[in-house]
Amino acid sequence: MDEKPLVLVIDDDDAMRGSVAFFMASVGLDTRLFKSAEEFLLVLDDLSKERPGCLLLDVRMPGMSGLELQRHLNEMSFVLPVLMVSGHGDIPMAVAALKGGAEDFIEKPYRDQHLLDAVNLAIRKSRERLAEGSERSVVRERFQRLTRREREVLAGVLAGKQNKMIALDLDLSVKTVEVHRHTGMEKMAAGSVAELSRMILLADIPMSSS
Amino acid sequence: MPLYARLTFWFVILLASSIAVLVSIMLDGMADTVSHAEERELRGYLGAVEAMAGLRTNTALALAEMVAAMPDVRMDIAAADRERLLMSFSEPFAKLNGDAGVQQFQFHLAPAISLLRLHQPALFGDDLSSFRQMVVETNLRGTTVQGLENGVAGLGARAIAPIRQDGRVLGSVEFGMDFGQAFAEQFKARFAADIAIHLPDGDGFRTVATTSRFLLSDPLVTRAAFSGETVLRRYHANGRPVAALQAAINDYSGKPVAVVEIAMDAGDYAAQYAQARWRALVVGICVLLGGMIIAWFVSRTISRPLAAMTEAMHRLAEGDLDVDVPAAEREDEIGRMARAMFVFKQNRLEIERQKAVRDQFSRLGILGEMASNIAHELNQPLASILNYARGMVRLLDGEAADPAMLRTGALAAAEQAERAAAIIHRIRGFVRRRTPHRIRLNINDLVEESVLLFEASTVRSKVAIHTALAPRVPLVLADKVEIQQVLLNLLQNALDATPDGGDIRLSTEADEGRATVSVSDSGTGFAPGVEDRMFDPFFTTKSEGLGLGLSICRTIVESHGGGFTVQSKADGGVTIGFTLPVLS
Repeated sequence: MDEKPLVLVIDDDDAMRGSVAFFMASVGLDTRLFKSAEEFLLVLDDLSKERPGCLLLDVRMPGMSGLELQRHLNEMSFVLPVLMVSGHGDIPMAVAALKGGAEDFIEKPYRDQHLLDAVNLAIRKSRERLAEGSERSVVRERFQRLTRREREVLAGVLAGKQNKMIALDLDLSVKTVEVHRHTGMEKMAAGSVAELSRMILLADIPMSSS
Repeated sequence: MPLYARLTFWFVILLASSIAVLVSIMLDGMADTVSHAEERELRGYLGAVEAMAGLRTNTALALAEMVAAMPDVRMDIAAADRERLLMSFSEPFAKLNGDAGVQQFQFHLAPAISLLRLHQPALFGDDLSSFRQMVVETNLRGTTVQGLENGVAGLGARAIAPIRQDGRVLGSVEFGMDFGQAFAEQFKARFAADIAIHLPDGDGFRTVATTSRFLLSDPLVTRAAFSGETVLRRYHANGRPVAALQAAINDYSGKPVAVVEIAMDAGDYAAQYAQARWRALVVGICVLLGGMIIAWFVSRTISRPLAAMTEAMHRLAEGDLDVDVPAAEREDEIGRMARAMFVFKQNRLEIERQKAVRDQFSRLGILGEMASNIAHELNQPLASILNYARGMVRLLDGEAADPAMLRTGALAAAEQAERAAAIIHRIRGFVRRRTPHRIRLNINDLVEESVLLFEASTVRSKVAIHTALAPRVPLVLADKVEIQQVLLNLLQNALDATPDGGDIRLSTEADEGRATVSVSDSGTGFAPGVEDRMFDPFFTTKSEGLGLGLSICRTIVESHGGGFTVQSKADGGVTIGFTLPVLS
């Protein structure tokens, strides 16, 4: 969980990649360098999904441009924040990048502190996202273990229904409903209905009461 | 012949011939009408003559029948008693002769012996049977006879009644009314027309009565009339137009006995005809004049816009796109033509505009692209160097600076600096200046040559260039092309600052081992803050300028060992001069 962050650098200019890596190393950050957007996409699946970090993306590149890659990553719900870097950024490009969900837009030549602040902020965000992401998967895993009856009963509970009403809806005895409710809450490791509700919302699990 | 004149000419010709034809037809009709009216009137008069004669014979008949019925008269005739008849009737005849126009009163004995002429008592006993058919007929048939007939006393309107006793015709009584001068005068008094009566006389005719000495009697005409024709004639008598008619008049038996000539004053008709002719003439001339004016006007409204359009077309063809297209608001064919021309002009304008835009963009575009490329090229190594340098600083600031890592960074930074230098070297290779080539120059010659080169661009803005050259200037050692560049640059700046119609003054001076060339504009002077920065690279007040002109000028002049002077003039313009050291 508390792994060392990794800064992914995509830039067509060798010197730029090298110098960025050097600068990141000087502040103790690991980097992984890519020549082009295409090269990055090739190894994307092999990258650790758990490791925090950010993406430093040059806008102007031969082949797939930075903006195109950003759009692509958005579609596949890439979790790491993206920092756009441009040698001659203009306002329309910055607007497009930020609208596309970029964390920040950095114009070359930049002040080192500016870059560093942006990278650190992005890394912090990535940690939060990963934390959220792991809780979500835990909740989902627990949810998978529920039986059909337990899910139906918990859906009724979340909809704010009394045990009696749930029993009526599902054509069960009140006693049976109480049993399902108890085992369901235990499996979900939820201490209260409020906690259960938060978990379900976070994990984005669709619940319907009938 | 111009179009409008031709149109007018043919229109007028057409109008004139129409008027001529119409007027002549109208006047012919008028003449016909007048002549018919005259003839009808004259025939009316002829009828009146016959009616008057008829009235007279009726009166004569009444008298004859009355006398024939008187018993005393029968007795006297039976007795052939002249004396008693004369005694009985001489007094009544005198009365009738005076009041009733009775001219003859005569008794005959059968078959045709004159017994008594009350109008001529001395003559009697003569036999009338040879020439008085009326008398013969009355006595033969025992009936009354009336009509015109010649007699011893001339032509008369006569009536003869038989005098019978016991069914036997003893003789006859005759009354004759005048049909001569008195009749004519009475006719004239009644109808205000002149009349003459002509009787055949041997081979010719004898006029027995006339009311006007102006009546012409042409024997040939009279003969034609006597043989049954009605002859109409027009002539002038006593300065007046006259219409005359001649026709035969018949005796009691229907045979022509005389020719009556009737003449009337045709002045009224002639005056009407003349007036109509005048009116036609005046109206015709007015219509013709009006037609000429209209034709002229219409032709001009066609030809003038055509001429204006031709002029505009010429100017368009010569490239003057400011020209207005005339007549485009018209609804007719000319308007359509004008609008087509307007479209043509708009197209030309659009083409010119696009060309201007294209030129401007291509100029700015190339420069912009170049600048952008250079910036990107240099940005990469600069950003890299910054990264290495900052990284090394951070390493040094940290606890354990790894010398090997610092070395890597420093090497990489140096490498990138070299890369940047290489880029700049490459760019300079593009814009490398030619090697200066300095020669001995007469600065006045150079000025004159530059003005010649420059004048082409001042023609359009109508800016005049005045040169005031020092009479003798020492030679300078200079690169001719470079100094000319400086001078042309100053002239262009002056022209940009000077409004249309203004002037530029160019002068040379020589003093204290220096030659000075000055350019003065008549513009509005410097905006605040411009004067201090005008020689800075990339400083410009022109929307399309790069801001390098004066900067380069200064480099050139200073490389020659000279310098610039700038003065604001009192009238608002600016004088910029540069000096060059003269050859000693």
